[in-house]
Amino acid sequence: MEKRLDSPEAFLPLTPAVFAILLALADGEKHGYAIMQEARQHAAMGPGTLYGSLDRLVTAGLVEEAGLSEDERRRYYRLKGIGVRVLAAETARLEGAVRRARGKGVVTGEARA
Amino acid sequence: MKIPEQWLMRAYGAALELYPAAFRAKYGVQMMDAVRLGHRASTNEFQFLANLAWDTVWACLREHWREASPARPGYAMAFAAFFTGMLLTVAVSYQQVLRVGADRQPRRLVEAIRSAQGQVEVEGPRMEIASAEWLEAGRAFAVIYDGSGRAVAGDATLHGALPQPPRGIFGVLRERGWDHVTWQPEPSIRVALVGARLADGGYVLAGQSLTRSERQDARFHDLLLWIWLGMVVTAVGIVLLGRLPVPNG
Repeated sequence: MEKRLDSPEAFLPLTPAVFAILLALADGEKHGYAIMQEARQHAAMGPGTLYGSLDRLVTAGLVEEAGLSEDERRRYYRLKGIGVRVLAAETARLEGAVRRARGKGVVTGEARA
Repeated sequence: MKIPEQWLMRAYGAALELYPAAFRAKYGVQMMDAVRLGHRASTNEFQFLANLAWDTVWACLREHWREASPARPGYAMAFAAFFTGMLLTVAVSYQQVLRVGADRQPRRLVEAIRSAQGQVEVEGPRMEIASAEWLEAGRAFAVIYDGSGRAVAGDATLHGALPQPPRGIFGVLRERGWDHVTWQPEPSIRVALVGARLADGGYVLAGQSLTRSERQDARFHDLLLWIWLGMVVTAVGIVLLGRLPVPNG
């Protein structure tokens, strides 16, 4: 994930953890624990994975730090422009995969059977 | 049943020491906070602790691996040092293999003469070991010496006389029974010399030119030098490229 490129496609495909983090930040800035809580709906994630991934995303320029809480125990993060575009590109890629699966007759209900 | 929060935090604080120092300094407080809140919210204590342990192990390995990027000068230097050491080991090993190989034929000759109690004929047509022909031929010679170290018979000459190596080798042969050395009677003549003491108190020395094996060794060392230079250029290039500013999205 240590890329700093202009094209969103250069970052694809995203790992489930990175996609979950970007998705968690899609509706506004959040602190680490809040990101982790939401990201866990999509991918297994502990503090080490979360902050390691966040550090890579910050280095890659997809996410930026938005400041600290008053007690300085929580650091807030938000998506940058390229981060939004990467999230959109990955979503489109996943949508394409879903369409192809549907076209082959894959029914989501069968996963629970 | 939940373990006391202070125990967990103490244990996780200790586990944070496993992370690289820079990572720990930047995220340690937030990670502690996330664990505290996650523990309070968890409903399955065992699953929470198992997930936390798994996450810690993998995240630590990942961060250390990331830290070990070859673009960091320290790691590039460590790699260069390791690679240099490896090449030196290969160079010395190859030299040893060639040197031991050069001893093989003289050793066989010495063994044959010693087991025949010095009765083997070593008075054949004499080779001149200062000649370019012998130096390149890879053929071994043998010379018999009496108890005082004076050459008495042999199938080679050095400038017309039976080869007479330094007397010191006979002292060693008297003590140890056998020896092998590199003998350089002149700058252009280097000989792998193997010797043994004979039952009658005399000595036998057999030798083979090192010219061919040393030329082979020099060629191999040149190759290793080019590989080493290539490694240095690559390592420096990686470090410099890692410092280039890159476009920011």
